[in-house]
Order: sequence, then structure tokens, then C-alpha cells
Amino acid sequence: MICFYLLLFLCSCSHYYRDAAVALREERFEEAAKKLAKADQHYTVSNEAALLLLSRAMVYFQSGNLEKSTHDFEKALDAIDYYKQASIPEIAGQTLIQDDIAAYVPPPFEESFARFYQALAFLHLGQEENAVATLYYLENHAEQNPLTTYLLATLFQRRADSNANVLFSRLQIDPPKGNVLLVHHRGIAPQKKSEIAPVSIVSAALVETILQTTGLKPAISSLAGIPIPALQTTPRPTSILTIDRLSQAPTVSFDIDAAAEDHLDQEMPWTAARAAARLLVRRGLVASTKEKAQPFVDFAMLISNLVTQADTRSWAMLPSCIDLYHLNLEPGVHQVQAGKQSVTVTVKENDLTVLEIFQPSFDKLFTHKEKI
Amino acid sequence: MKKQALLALSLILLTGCGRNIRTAEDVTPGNTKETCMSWKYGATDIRIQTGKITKELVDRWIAKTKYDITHGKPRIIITHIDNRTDMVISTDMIRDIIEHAAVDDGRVTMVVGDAKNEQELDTWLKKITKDPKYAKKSRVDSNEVQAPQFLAKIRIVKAMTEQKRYDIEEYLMTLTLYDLETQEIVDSATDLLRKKVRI
Repeated sequence: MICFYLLLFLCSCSHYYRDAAVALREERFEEAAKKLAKADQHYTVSNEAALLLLSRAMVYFQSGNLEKSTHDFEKALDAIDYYKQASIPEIAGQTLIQDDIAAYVPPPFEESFARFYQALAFLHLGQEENAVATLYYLENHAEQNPLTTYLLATLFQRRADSNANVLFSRLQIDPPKGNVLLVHHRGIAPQKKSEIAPVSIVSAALVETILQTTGLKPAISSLAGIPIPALQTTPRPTSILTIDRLSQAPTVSFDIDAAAEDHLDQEMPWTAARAAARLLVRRGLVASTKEKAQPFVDFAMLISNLVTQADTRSWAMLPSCIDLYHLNLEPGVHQVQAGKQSVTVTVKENDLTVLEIFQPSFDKLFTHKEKI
Repeated sequence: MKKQALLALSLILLTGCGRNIRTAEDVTPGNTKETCMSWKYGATDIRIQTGKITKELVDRWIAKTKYDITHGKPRIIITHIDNRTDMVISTDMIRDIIEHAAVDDGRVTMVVGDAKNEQELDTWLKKITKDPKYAKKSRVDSNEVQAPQFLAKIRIVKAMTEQKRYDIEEYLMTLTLYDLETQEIVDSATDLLRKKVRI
């Protein structure tokens, strides 16, 4: 019975955020927002609140609903702050059941992107000071990334703040001059999938052989192995961008694929240790039951081990790479071309215009859409 | 043994997730009571600081000029709120709070403008000629009985000291009054709010 409930629980894990990401890439904004409607709940209710809110904030951002986007990003940052606190029951649950039973806590690079996108949304809304504030928080607390540092430096430069030079020198960039910040969001961030580490099957077989020498009956459940997360990347659209037929080089770039890979490598020892402990507990349960019942418990544990998945949650709506261009363009309409796709953008007579182009795949290129 | 293990496990799972929404303690010098507040700088903090600053400035100005507010409440036009902290603050919220702080004080009227540049100042300078009640310079002439008005700027800055388990965060709010005609500084007041934020 317990196994049945466990199976039911493990199989009930939905991938709503991935479905929403697919809808977003196909510019079906309303549908994507609907899939994430649970984000309306208070963030303490759902342990996936950070993921829900980050995802919906991105839907609003790309659809041009910037007020709602900044609001969701703010709530997402609160949720991240809340779920960063370690929880002993959750760690116990991760060890006994599976990793994604715990709350979703985004890796530091995702948190920095939450602030980057929030800052961009504030800039579109004309709230430059709030854009500075959200980026400045990163300088004081969390992990910075070159894009947030560059954006902050540019905004400091506009205030004639001498800290701008400090930040530009950190990036090894000369203070630029330009009236347009163009952000090119390319490709799709790598998706995580759960796969069995082959080494774990070999190790389990060895352990069973050793245990057999001590008189313990071998258990087949251990041979199911340990599930670990792995990254699946998709081809990234071209980095060559031309504006009015003139090729441009990005001022700063951030490779999200590489950041995700680094984070996964850093987390792997903990993930593997938890998975090994889980396997050990389940093996111990088989060994501790009466000899007659052992085959049934072993079979139940085999099913449990087979359905146990690695934590594959991630902010699936991020692009694979972000290129930031700081350009000097005349006010008016300009043609931006990336690969075979092109889009027109309008530079206003402001002293700083921020433009976004989204290119999730080779055949799709769009700018902010109308409000949903 | 098994029963004990199961009991321990059930207890762990029943204790809930063990998380709390982060809070801060108000450890501002001079405060006798350490009140619990939000760790973020927000509406409550702005209300506390604006109230204190308004009182301090108006007390000082009235003491200096001996102005009788029955002749009309002085008007403070806030042209710019300069947020130099790392906290996102809703501009609309600040406007409402500041305007209400003046209502609570009862001796002054506050208006918060949108603009951040000289164009706004010029607009206000033009307006005074069309506004009979306030068509008056900031310096009070006792023979005249019209209410004065000032331009003002608010700046909020933050300083942070990291400690082992807590961050000490200080928010300094400064309200500077400018003469409407000459745009010279008339007076300035500051208020410090110190928070002890759990890391």
C-alpha cells in the first residue's frame, strides 16, 4: 500500500513549467500565463513558488506586461529568500524519497538573472532608480554576473557616479558611449533530465557481492542504480547580429549553458551522496525485514528505486545565451537581423533606449509583444 | 527500535518545514524597544522616517521664522526622491506616504512631483504666478500673510555592516529644502533607521 502511494506521489510530479516554456517560445503568452496560475498563491504555500513566479514573470516580460513582470520578480525574490533557509524535514524527505521533494531554490546564476530581467523591466517602465536598486543588491549580497555588473555600471555612469569606472574596470571594459542597449536573448537554456549513473550499478553489484560473503541475501533492488541530473542542450541560434546591414559585436555576453553546467558539477557530490544514502536506507530496510518477507520488500524497493528521479527542475524560460550590445544609433526605425530572421526596432529620442530581441530558435525572432 | 525510528520520523515530518519569513529588529540608536519589522526597506520605514523628518524640519522652521500657520500652511514641493539603496521602492507608494505624513503633522502641505530635472523646477516657478494663495517667496515677511512654499529633495542612502549572523543595515533619509526662487538650500534634516537583519 505504502509503495502504491509512493508510486502515485512520484508519478504525479508535473512539468507545468516546461509546458509553459514551450508555449512562451511559440508566443502563446496567455496560455503560458494560465499554466502558471498557481503563482497567485502566497509563496509560502507552494514549495515551487520561486519557479512558478520566475516563470510567470518571464512570460509577462516577453509579452510586454512589464508592471506585472516586476511584481512577479519581486515576489520570486522573496520566495527565493524564504526557501533558501535549510529545512531538516525536507532534507530527510530528499534522502528517503527523492530530491525534488524539497523546495525549489534557484542556483545563484538564476537569481542574478531574476534581478537582471527585473532591472530591464524597470528600465522599460522608466523607473531607473529601482533598476539600479535591484542590481545594486547583487553587488552587496549575491553572485554577480557580467551582464548585471555592466548594466549597473551603465546606469551609474548616467548618474555621473564614480563607481561606474570601478565596475567597468572590473569587467575590463572602457566606459562606453551609446544611446541604445540592445539585449539579444538567444536559444533555450539547457533542460535537465534524470539518468542512472552507470558507475552506481557497478558499485551496487560489488556491495551486494561483499554482503553475500557476510551471509546476507543479495537484493536486486540495489541494482536499479542512482538517478542523477544531466543537461540536455539544444543548438543555439547565431551570434551574428547586423543592424542596418552593419555587423555588430556584443559588448558583454553570458553563456547560460556553461553556468548551468558549472552549477551541476558543484552540486553533484551532494546529489550523489544523498542518492547513495537513499539507496542504503532502502537496502537496510530489505535486510532488516524477516527472511520470508524479504523478496516482497526487495521487489517493492526495486519499484521505488526505479521510479525515483533526480531533481530536474530549472528556470526553463531562460535563453541559452544573452548578448548585450551598447550602441550609438540615430533615433528612428532600424532593421535588426539575426541569421535569416529580421525585426524592426524603434530608437526613441531618449538619452537611453533599451531594446530586447528574443530568438528562442533559428526560425523565430521577436521583440516585446502587446500586453496580454 | 523500529517503532522509535518511525516515531522520530513522524515527528520530524510533523514539525512543518521549519522556515520563517525573514524579519529584522529595529535597533535605531535611542529606541528603547526593539520592534520586529520587515527586513526590506519599505512602507513602514518610509512612514517612520518621513514623519520624524517633517516634524524636525517644521519645528525648526517655525521656531526660526515665528511663522503663524493660521495664515496658511507652508507647502513643500518634493521634486525628486533619490533612492540610493539596494531596495526596490515603489515611487507611487512613497508619494502617498509622504503626502500622508504631512497630513498627520497638520502644519504643512506636501506635494510630490514627478520630474527629476530642471524643467520641473521651471514649471513650478511659472506656476507660482498663477497661484494667488501661494504667490509668495519662501522667506516670510511678517507684514504679509500668505503661505510660503519650498522645493525639496529626498535622498535615501544605505550602509551595511556584515556580522557573523546578522547584517546591520542603516538607512539614512535626508530631506533638503530649497528656496523656490533662488534654489539655494534653506534647511536640511536627516533620520537614521538601523536594522538588524538575520542572514
